[in-house]
Amino acid sequence: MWAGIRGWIISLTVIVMIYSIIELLMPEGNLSKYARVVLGLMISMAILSPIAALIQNGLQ
Amino acid sequence: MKSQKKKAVYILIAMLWFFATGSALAAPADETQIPAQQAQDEINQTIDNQIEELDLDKLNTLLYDLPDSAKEILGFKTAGEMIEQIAKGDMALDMQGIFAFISRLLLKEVTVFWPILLKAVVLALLCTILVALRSGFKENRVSEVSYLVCYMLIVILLSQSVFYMIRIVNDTITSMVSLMQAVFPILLVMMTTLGGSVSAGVFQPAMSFLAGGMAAFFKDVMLPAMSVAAVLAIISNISERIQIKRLFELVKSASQWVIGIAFTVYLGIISVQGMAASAIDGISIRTAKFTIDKLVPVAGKMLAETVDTVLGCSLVVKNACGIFSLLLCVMVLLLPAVKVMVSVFMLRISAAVLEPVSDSRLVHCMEDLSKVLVLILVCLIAVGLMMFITIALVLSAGNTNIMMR
Repeated sequence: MWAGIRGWIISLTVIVMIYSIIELLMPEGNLSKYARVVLGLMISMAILSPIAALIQNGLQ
Repeated sequence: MKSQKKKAVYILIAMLWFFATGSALAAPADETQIPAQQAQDEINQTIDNQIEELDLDKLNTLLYDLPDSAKEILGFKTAGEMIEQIAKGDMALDMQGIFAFISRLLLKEVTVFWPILLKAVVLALLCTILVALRSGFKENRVSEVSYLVCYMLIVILLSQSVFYMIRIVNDTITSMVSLMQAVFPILLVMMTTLGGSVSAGVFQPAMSFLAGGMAAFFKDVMLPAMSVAAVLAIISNISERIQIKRLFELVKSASQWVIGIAFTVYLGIISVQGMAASAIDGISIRTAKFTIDKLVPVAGKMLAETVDTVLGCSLVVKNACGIFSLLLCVMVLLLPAVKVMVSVFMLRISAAVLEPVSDSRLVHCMEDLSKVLVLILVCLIAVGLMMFITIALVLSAGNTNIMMR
Protein backbone atom coordinates (compact mmCIF):
# COMPACT_ATOMS: atom_id res chain seq x y z
CA MET A 1 0.00 0.00 0.00
CA TRP A 2 2.79 2.38 0.93
CA ALA A 3 4.54 1.59 -2.32
CA GLY A 4 1.40 2.72 -4.15
CA ILE A 5 1.18 5.94 -2.14
CA ARG A 6 4.85 6.58 -2.68
CA GLY A 7 4.41 6.17 -6.41
CA TRP A 8 1.39 8.44 -6.35
CA ILE A 9 3.25 11.19 -4.50
CA ILE A 10 6.24 10.91 -6.82
CA SER A 11 4.07 11.09 -9.94
CA LEU A 12 2.19 14.06 -8.47
CA THR A 13 5.45 15.85 -7.74
CA VAL A 14 6.81 15.14 -11.20
CA ILE A 15 3.62 16.35 -12.89
CA VAL A 16 3.60 19.57 -10.87
CA MET A 17 7.25 20.19 -11.74
CA ILE A 18 6.59 19.53 -15.41
CA TYR A 19 3.63 21.87 -15.23
CA SER A 20 5.67 24.70 -13.78
CA ILE A 21 8.46 24.19 -16.32
CA ILE A 22 6.04 24.07 -19.25
CA GLU A 23 4.39 27.18 -17.91
CA LEU A 24 7.76 28.92 -18.03
CA LEU A 25 8.57 27.77 -21.53
CA MET A 26 5.16 28.30 -23.07
CA PRO A 27 4.89 31.25 -25.44
CA GLU A 28 2.19 33.78 -24.62
CA GLY A 29 -0.78 33.31 -26.88
CA ASN A 30 -4.22 31.89 -27.39
CA LEU A 31 -3.08 28.32 -27.09
CA SER A 32 -1.53 28.74 -23.65
CA LYS A 33 -5.00 28.94 -22.11
CA TYR A 34 -5.96 25.55 -23.48
CA ALA A 35 -2.63 24.05 -22.59
CA ARG A 36 -3.16 25.15 -18.99
CA VAL A 37 -6.59 23.52 -18.87
CA VAL A 38 -5.15 20.27 -20.21
CA LEU A 39 -2.30 20.33 -17.71
CA GLY A 40 -4.71 21.10 -14.87
CA LEU A 41 -6.84 18.15 -15.93
CA MET A 42 -3.75 15.96 -15.86
CA ILE A 43 -3.02 17.00 -12.31
CA SER A 44 -6.60 16.31 -11.28
CA MET A 45 -6.31 12.86 -12.82
CA ALA A 46 -3.07 12.29 -10.95
CA ILE A 47 -4.76 13.28 -7.69
CA LEU A 48 -7.69 10.99 -8.44
CA SER A 49 -5.63 8.03 -9.60
CA PRO A 50 -5.41 6.21 -6.22
CA ILE A 51 -9.19 6.38 -5.88
CA ALA A 52 -9.58 4.95 -9.37
CA ALA A 53 -7.14 2.17 -8.47
CA LEU A 54 -9.07 1.51 -5.28
CA ILE A 55 -12.35 1.16 -7.15
CA GLN A 56 -10.74 -1.15 -9.68
CA ASN A 57 -9.21 -3.33 -6.99
CA GLY A 58 -12.45 -3.35 -5.07
CA LEU A 59 -14.34 -4.59 -8.10
CA GLN A 60 -11.90 -7.40 -8.74
CA MET B 1 -24.11 14.12 103.23
CA LYS B 2 -25.28 12.36 100.16
CA SER B 3 -24.00 15.04 97.82
CA GLN B 4 -20.60 15.01 99.54
CA LYS B 5 -20.38 11.28 99.04
CA LYS B 6 -21.32 11.74 95.44
CA LYS B 7 -18.64 14.37 95.03
CA ALA B 8 -16.04 12.09 96.56
CA VAL B 9 -17.02 9.32 94.15
CA TYR B 10 -16.72 11.69 91.22
CA ILE B 11 -13.30 12.84 92.29
CA LEU B 12 -12.20 9.26 92.76
CA ILE B 13 -13.40 8.35 89.31
CA ALA B 14 -11.73 11.39 87.83
CA MET B 15 -8.45 10.54 89.53
CA LEU B 16 -8.67 6.92 88.44
CA TRP B 17 -9.37 7.99 84.88
CA PHE B 18 -6.51 10.43 85.02
CA PHE B 19 -4.01 7.84 86.24
CA ALA B 20 -5.29 5.24 83.88
CA THR B 21 -5.02 7.44 80.84
CA GLY B 22 -1.81 8.98 82.12
CA SER B 23 -0.17 5.63 82.41
CA ALA B 24 -1.69 4.56 79.14
CA LEU B 25 -0.34 7.67 77.48
CA ALA B 26 3.03 7.36 79.15
CA ALA B 27 3.47 3.68 78.44
CA PRO B 28 3.27 3.67 74.62
CA ALA B 29 5.81 6.45 74.44
CA ASP B 30 8.40 4.09 75.83
CA GLU B 31 7.24 0.83 74.43
CA THR B 32 6.21 1.70 70.90
CA GLN B 33 9.38 3.57 70.13
CA ILE B 34 11.27 0.37 69.61
CA PRO B 35 8.51 -1.55 67.80
CA ALA B 36 8.00 1.43 65.48
CA GLN B 37 11.70 1.40 64.70
CA GLN B 38 11.61 -2.35 64.26
CA ALA B 39 8.57 -2.13 62.02
CA GLN B 40 10.28 0.51 59.92
CA ASP B 41 13.36 -1.66 59.58
CA GLU B 42 11.23 -4.62 58.72
CA ILE B 43 9.37 -2.67 56.05
CA ASN B 44 12.63 -1.40 54.58
CA GLN B 45 13.98 -4.95 54.61
CA THR B 46 10.90 -6.23 52.81
CA ILE B 47 11.11 -3.45 50.24
CA ASP B 48 14.81 -4.15 49.63
CA ASN B 49 14.13 -7.85 49.21
CA GLN B 50 11.35 -7.22 46.75
CA ILE B 51 13.44 -4.83 44.69
CA GLU B 52 16.28 -7.33 44.60
CA GLU B 53 13.91 -9.91 43.18
CA LEU B 54 12.98 -7.68 40.24
CA ASP B 55 14.62 -8.11 36.87
CA LEU B 56 15.86 -4.61 36.11
CA ASP B 57 18.46 -5.36 33.40
CA LYS B 58 16.40 -3.97 30.55
CA LEU B 59 15.58 -0.81 32.51
CA ASN B 60 19.26 -0.32 33.25
CA THR B 61 20.16 -0.56 29.58
CA LEU B 62 17.42 1.97 28.79
CA LEU B 63 18.77 4.29 31.47
CA TYR B 64 22.24 3.83 30.03
CA ASP B 65 20.98 4.85 26.57
CA LEU B 66 19.60 8.17 27.79
CA PRO B 67 21.58 11.27 26.84
CA ASP B 68 24.04 12.46 29.48
CA SER B 69 22.08 15.59 30.30
CA ALA B 70 19.03 13.48 31.16
CA LYS B 71 21.17 11.15 33.25
CA GLU B 72 22.47 14.11 35.18
CA ILE B 73 18.91 15.06 36.20
CA LEU B 74 18.27 11.54 37.40
CA GLY B 75 21.59 11.57 39.24
CA PHE B 76 23.56 8.83 37.44
CA LYS B 77 21.96 6.02 39.40
CA THR B 78 20.96 2.51 38.46
CA ALA B 79 17.31 1.59 38.15
CA GLY B 80 17.38 -0.43 41.37
CA GLU B 81 18.82 2.45 43.40
CA MET B 82 16.27 4.86 42.02
CA ILE B 83 13.33 2.58 42.68
CA GLU B 84 14.59 2.02 46.22
CA GLN B 85 14.89 5.77 46.77
CA ILE B 86 11.39 6.41 45.47
CA ALA B 87 9.98 3.56 47.54
CA LYS B 88 11.53 4.93 50.74
CA GLY B 89 10.44 8.46 49.95
CA ASP B 90 13.97 9.82 49.55
CA MET B 91 13.51 10.79 45.94
CA ALA B 92 13.71 14.52 45.67
CA LEU B 93 13.45 15.85 42.16
CA ASP B 94 15.35 19.04 41.79
CA MET B 95 12.76 21.32 40.20
CA GLN B 96 15.25 24.08 39.52
CA GLY B 97 17.59 21.57 37.97
CA ILE B 98 14.82 20.34 35.69
CA PHE B 99 13.96 23.84 34.54
CA ALA B 100 17.62 24.58 33.96
CA PHE B 101 17.89 21.31 32.04
CA ILE B 102 14.92 22.17 29.81
CA SER B 103 16.16 25.68 29.12
CA ARG B 104 19.62 24.33 28.34
CA LEU B 105 18.05 21.86 25.91
CA LEU B 106 16.06 24.65 24.28
CA LEU B 107 19.14 26.80 23.87
CA LYS B 108 21.14 23.93 22.46
CA GLU B 109 18.46 23.06 19.93
CA VAL B 110 18.11 26.69 18.93
CA THR B 111 21.84 26.86 18.23
CA VAL B 112 21.55 23.63 16.21
CA PHE B 113 18.70 24.92 14.06
CA TRP B 114 19.80 28.48 13.75
CA PRO B 115 22.34 27.94 10.91
CA ILE B 116 19.88 26.00 8.71
CA LEU B 117 17.22 28.66 8.97
CA LEU B 118 19.72 31.45 8.63
CA LYS B 119 20.82 29.89 5.34
CA ALA B 120 17.19 29.62 4.23
CA VAL B 121 16.41 33.22 5.17
CA VAL B 122 19.54 34.59 3.47
CA LEU B 123 18.78 32.58 0.33
CA ALA B 124 15.23 33.88 0.29
CA LEU B 125 16.40 37.46 0.69
CA LEU B 126 18.95 37.06 -2.12
CA CYS B 127 16.24 35.53 -4.27
CA THR B 128 13.93 38.47 -3.58
CA ILE B 129 16.64 40.94 -4.56
CA LEU B 130 17.40 38.94 -7.71
CA VAL B 131 13.74 38.78 -8.70
CA ALA B 132 13.36 42.51 -8.07
CA LEU B 133 16.38 43.28 -10.31
CA ARG B 134 15.18 40.95 -13.03
CA SER B 135 11.64 42.24 -13.14
CA GLY B 136 13.17 45.67 -13.56
CA PHE B 137 14.21 44.41 -16.99
CA LYS B 138 10.71 43.05 -17.65
CA GLU B 139 12.03 39.59 -18.02
CA ASN B 140 9.38 37.75 -16.11
CA ARG B 141 10.39 34.31 -17.25
CA VAL B 142 13.94 34.69 -16.07
CA SER B 143 12.85 35.99 -12.71
CA GLU B 144 10.47 33.05 -12.43
CA VAL B 145 13.25 30.61 -13.18
CA SER B 146 15.54 32.20 -10.62
CA TYR B 147 12.70 32.06 -8.10
CA LEU B 148 12.20 28.36 -8.82
CA VAL B 149 15.89 27.64 -8.32
CA CYS B 150 15.93 29.51 -5.02
CA TYR B 151 12.74 27.77 -3.93
CA MET B 152 14.29 24.39 -4.63
CA LEU B 153 17.42 25.25 -2.67
CA ILE B 154 15.47 26.49 0.33
CA VAL B 155 13.09 23.56 0.21
CA ILE B 156 15.99 21.12 0.18
CA LEU B 157 17.31 22.73 3.38
CA LEU B 158 13.91 22.76 5.07
CA SER B 159 12.83 19.28 4.00
CA GLN B 160 16.08 17.86 5.33
CA SER B 161 15.24 19.16 8.77
CA VAL B 162 11.62 17.98 8.51
CA PHE B 163 12.61 14.45 7.50
CA TYR B 164 15.28 14.44 10.18
CA MET B 165 12.52 15.23 12.69
CA ILE B 166 10.37 12.40 11.35
CA ARG B 167 13.29 10.03 11.79
CA ILE B 168 13.91 11.23 15.33
CA VAL B 169 10.26 10.77 16.27
CA ASN B 170 10.35 7.31 14.73
CA ASP B 171 13.38 6.37 16.84
CA THR B 172 11.78 7.82 19.97
CA ILE B 173 8.62 5.79 19.48
CA THR B 174 10.79 2.69 19.07
CA SER B 175 12.65 3.39 22.29
CA MET B 176 9.39 4.11 24.10
CA VAL B 177 8.09 0.75 22.96
CA SER B 178 11.18 -0.94 24.35
CA LEU B 179 10.66 1.03 27.57
CA MET B 180 7.12 -0.32 27.81
CA GLN B 181 8.34 -3.83 27.10
CA ALA B 182 10.90 -3.49 29.89
CA VAL B 183 8.57 -1.88 32.43
CA PHE B 184 5.35 -3.73 31.94
CA PRO B 185 6.46 -7.24 32.90
CA ILE B 186 7.78 -5.78 36.16
CA LEU B 187 4.59 -3.85 36.85
CA LEU B 188 2.40 -6.82 36.00
CA VAL B 189 4.43 -9.12 38.24
CA MET B 190 4.08 -6.63 41.08
CA MET B 191 0.40 -6.33 40.34
CA THR B 192 -0.08 -10.08 40.52
CA THR B 193 1.81 -10.04 43.82
CA LEU B 194 -0.78 -7.59 45.04
CA GLY B 195 -3.53 -9.98 44.09
CA GLY B 196 -4.43 -8.07 40.98
CA SER B 197 -4.59 -11.10 38.73
CA VAL B 198 -7.70 -9.87 36.91
CA SER B 199 -6.21 -6.39 36.36
CA ALA B 200 -2.97 -7.96 35.19
CA GLY B 201 -5.02 -10.05 32.82
CA VAL B 202 -6.69 -6.92 31.48
CA PHE B 203 -3.55 -4.81 31.22
CA GLN B 204 -1.44 -7.52 29.60
CA PRO B 205 -3.36 -7.45 26.27
CA ALA B 206 -3.79 -3.69 26.55
CA MET B 207 -0.04 -3.35 26.83
CA SER B 208 0.69 -5.60 23.89
CA PHE B 209 -1.96 -3.69 21.95
CA LEU B 210 -0.27 -0.42 22.86
CA ALA B 211 3.29 -1.52 22.25
CA GLY B 212 2.55 -3.65 19.22
CA GLY B 213 -0.51 -2.09 17.66
CA MET B 214 -0.74 1.59 18.50
CA ALA B 215 2.98 2.35 18.37
CA ALA B 216 3.31 0.45 15.10
CA PHE B 217 0.28 2.30 13.78
CA PHE B 218 1.78 5.66 14.64
CA LYS B 219 5.19 4.64 13.35
CA ASP B 220 4.18 2.91 10.15
CA VAL B 221 1.04 4.81 9.16
CA MET B 222 1.00 8.25 10.73
CA LEU B 223 4.65 9.17 10.23
CA PRO B 224 4.67 8.20 6.51
CA ALA B 225 1.42 10.16 6.19
CA MET B 226 3.29 13.09 7.72
CA SER B 227 6.01 12.80 5.12
CA VAL B 228 3.33 12.68 2.41
CA ALA B 229 1.88 15.86 3.92
CA ALA B 230 5.34 17.48 3.93
CA VAL B 231 5.87 16.64 0.24
CA LEU B 232 2.41 17.99 -0.60
CA ALA B 233 3.15 21.16 1.36
CA ILE B 234 6.27 21.65 -0.72
CA ILE B 235 4.82 20.92 -4.15
CA SER B 236 1.59 22.80 -3.54
CA ASN B 237 3.60 26.02 -3.37
CA ILE B 238 5.85 25.56 -6.41
CA SER B 239 3.64 27.33 -8.89
CA GLU B 240 1.21 30.15 -8.40
CA ARG B 241 -1.19 28.88 -11.01
CA ILE B 242 -1.71 25.35 -9.93
CA GLN B 243 -2.91 24.93 -6.42
CA ILE B 244 -3.03 21.60 -4.70
CA LYS B 245 -3.39 23.20 -1.31
CA ARG B 246 -6.70 21.46 -0.68
CA LEU B 247 -5.03 18.10 -1.05
CA PHE B 248 -2.49 19.08 1.58
CA GLU B 249 -5.30 20.27 3.87
CA LEU B 250 -7.11 16.99 3.29
CA VAL B 251 -4.11 14.88 4.28
CA LYS B 252 -3.47 17.11 7.27
CA SER B 253 -6.98 17.09 8.67
CA ALA B 254 -7.41 13.38 7.95
CA SER B 255 -4.29 12.63 9.99
CA GLN B 256 -5.50 14.91 12.77
CA TRP B 257 -8.79 13.04 12.94
CA VAL B 258 -7.12 9.64 12.84
CA ILE B 259 -4.73 10.56 15.66
CA GLY B 260 -7.61 11.89 17.75
CA ILE B 261 -9.80 8.86 17.19
CA ALA B 262 -7.01 6.36 17.86
CA PHE B 263 -6.07 8.17 21.07
CA THR B 264 -9.62 8.46 22.38
CA VAL B 265 -10.64 4.90 21.57
CA TYR B 266 -7.52 3.45 23.14
CA LEU B 267 -7.84 5.50 26.34
CA GLY B 268 -11.57 4.83 26.59
CA ILE B 269 -11.17 1.08 26.32
CA ILE B 270 -8.21 0.81 28.65
CA SER B 271 -9.60 3.05 31.40
CA VAL B 272 -13.00 1.35 31.53
CA GLN B 273 -11.46 -2.12 31.55
CA GLY B 274 -8.89 -1.15 34.16
CA MET B 275 -11.52 0.25 36.51
CA ALA B 276 -13.74 -2.81 36.27
CA ALA B 277 -10.86 -5.21 36.77
CA SER B 278 -9.43 -3.45 39.81
CA ALA B 279 -12.80 -3.58 41.58
CA ILE B 280 -12.95 -7.35 41.09
CA ASP B 281 -9.38 -7.72 42.34
CA GLY B 282 -10.12 -5.63 45.42
CA ILE B 283 -12.90 -8.01 46.35
CA SER B 284 -10.76 -11.08 45.77
CA ILE B 285 -8.01 -9.71 48.04
CA ARG B 286 -10.58 -9.00 50.67
CA THR B 287 -11.91 -12.53 50.42
CA ALA B 288 -8.40 -13.96 50.69
CA LYS B 289 -7.66 -11.92 53.80
CA PHE B 290 -10.98 -12.84 55.38
CA THR B 291 -10.35 -16.51 54.63
CA ILE B 292 -6.91 -16.47 56.24
CA ASP B 293 -8.25 -14.57 59.22
CA LYS B 294 -11.20 -16.81 59.93
CA LEU B 295 -10.18 -20.25 58.72
CA VAL B 296 -6.67 -20.55 60.14
CA PRO B 297 -7.40 -21.34 63.77
CA VAL B 298 -5.09 -19.52 66.16
CA ALA B 299 -2.53 -17.66 64.08
CA GLY B 300 -5.06 -16.55 61.51
CA LYS B 301 -5.33 -12.99 62.69
CA MET B 302 -1.57 -12.55 62.79
CA LEU B 303 -1.12 -14.17 59.40
CA ALA B 304 -3.72 -11.87 57.91
CA GLU B 305 -1.85 -8.88 59.32
CA THR B 306 1.43 -10.17 57.91
CA VAL B 307 -0.21 -10.60 54.53
CA ASP B 308 -1.32 -7.02 54.87
CA THR B 309 2.20 -5.77 55.59
CA VAL B 310 3.71 -7.67 52.67
CA LEU B 311 0.96 -6.39 50.40
CA GLY B 312 1.63 -2.85 51.59
CA CYS B 313 5.35 -3.17 50.86
CA SER B 314 4.65 -4.62 47.42
CA LEU B 315 2.35 -1.71 46.79
CA VAL B 316 5.11 0.71 47.70
CA VAL B 317 7.61 -1.07 45.46
CA LYS B 318 5.11 -1.27 42.61
CA ASN B 319 4.34 2.43 42.87
CA ALA B 320 8.05 3.20 42.97
CA CYS B 321 8.59 1.10 39.82
CA GLY B 322 5.70 2.88 38.18
CA ILE B 323 6.89 6.35 39.14
CA PHE B 324 10.38 5.46 37.97
CA SER B 325 9.04 4.32 34.61
CA LEU B 326 6.94 7.47 34.30
CA LEU B 327 10.10 9.49 34.90
CA LEU B 328 11.96 7.46 32.33
CA CYS B 329 9.10 7.88 29.85
CA VAL B 330 9.23 11.66 30.30
CA MET B 331 13.00 11.68 29.93
CA VAL B 332 12.83 9.67 26.70
CA LEU B 333 10.09 11.95 25.36
CA LEU B 334 11.52 15.28 26.43
CA LEU B 335 14.52 15.65 24.15
CA PRO B 336 12.85 14.90 20.78
CA ALA B 337 9.75 16.88 21.78
CA VAL B 338 11.90 19.92 22.51
CA LYS B 339 13.71 19.40 19.20
CA VAL B 340 10.52 19.32 17.16
CA MET B 341 9.06 22.24 19.09
CA VAL B 342 12.14 24.38 18.51
CA SER B 343 12.11 23.61 14.79
CA VAL B 344 8.42 24.58 14.60
CA PHE B 345 9.17 27.90 16.28
CA MET B 346 12.18 28.57 14.09
CA LEU B 347 10.18 27.89 10.93
CA ARG B 348 7.41 30.18 12.14
CA ILE B 349 9.88 32.91 13.01
CA SER B 350 11.60 32.75 9.64
CA ALA B 351 8.21 32.75 7.88
CA ALA B 352 7.32 35.88 9.86
CA VAL B 353 10.64 37.52 8.98
CA LEU B 354 10.33 36.69 5.27
CA GLU B 355 6.69 37.64 4.85
CA PRO B 356 7.18 41.37 4.15
CA VAL B 357 9.98 40.85 1.63
CA SER B 358 9.73 37.46 0.02
CA ASP B 359 7.35 35.78 -2.37
CA SER B 360 4.18 34.59 -0.64
CA ARG B 361 4.66 31.03 -1.93
CA LEU B 362 7.85 30.54 0.04
CA VAL B 363 6.23 31.90 3.20
CA HIS B 364 3.25 29.62 2.69
CA CYS B 365 5.55 26.68 2.21
CA MET B 366 7.35 27.41 5.49
CA GLU B 367 4.05 27.80 7.29
CA ASP B 368 2.69 24.53 5.90
CA LEU B 369 5.87 22.71 6.84
CA SER B 370 5.59 24.07 10.36
CA LYS B 371 2.02 22.73 10.47
CA VAL B 372 3.31 19.32 9.43
CA LEU B 373 5.93 19.51 12.18
CA VAL B 374 3.22 20.34 14.71
CA LEU B 375 1.38 17.21 13.62
CA ILE B 376 4.56 15.17 14.02
CA LEU B 377 4.87 16.58 17.52
CA VAL B 378 1.24 15.61 18.15
CA CYS B 379 2.01 12.04 17.05
CA LEU B 380 4.96 11.87 19.43
CA ILE B 381 3.05 13.34 22.34
CA ALA B 382 0.03 11.12 21.67
CA VAL B 383 2.17 7.99 21.88
CA GLY B 384 3.93 9.34 24.96
CA LEU B 385 0.65 10.21 26.65
CA MET B 386 -0.84 6.81 25.90
CA MET B 387 2.13 5.14 27.54
CA PHE B 388 2.11 7.60 30.44
CA ILE B 389 -1.61 7.11 31.08
CA THR B 390 -1.36 3.34 30.75
CA ILE B 391 1.40 3.17 33.35
CA ALA B 392 -0.53 5.56 35.61
CA LEU B 393 -3.67 3.46 35.21
CA VAL B 394 -1.80 0.30 36.12
CA LEU B 395 -0.52 2.09 39.22
CA SER B 396 -3.92 3.37 40.23
CA ALA B 397 -5.58 0.02 39.49
CA GLY B 398 -3.17 -1.66 41.89
CA ASN B 399 -3.83 1.04 44.46
CA THR B 400 -7.59 0.64 44.13
CA ASN B 401 -7.54 -3.03 44.77
CA ILE B 402 -5.44 -2.45 47.88
CA MET B 403 -7.74 0.32 49.08
CA MET B 404 -10.70 -2.00 48.81
CA ARG B 405 -9.34 -4.80 50.99
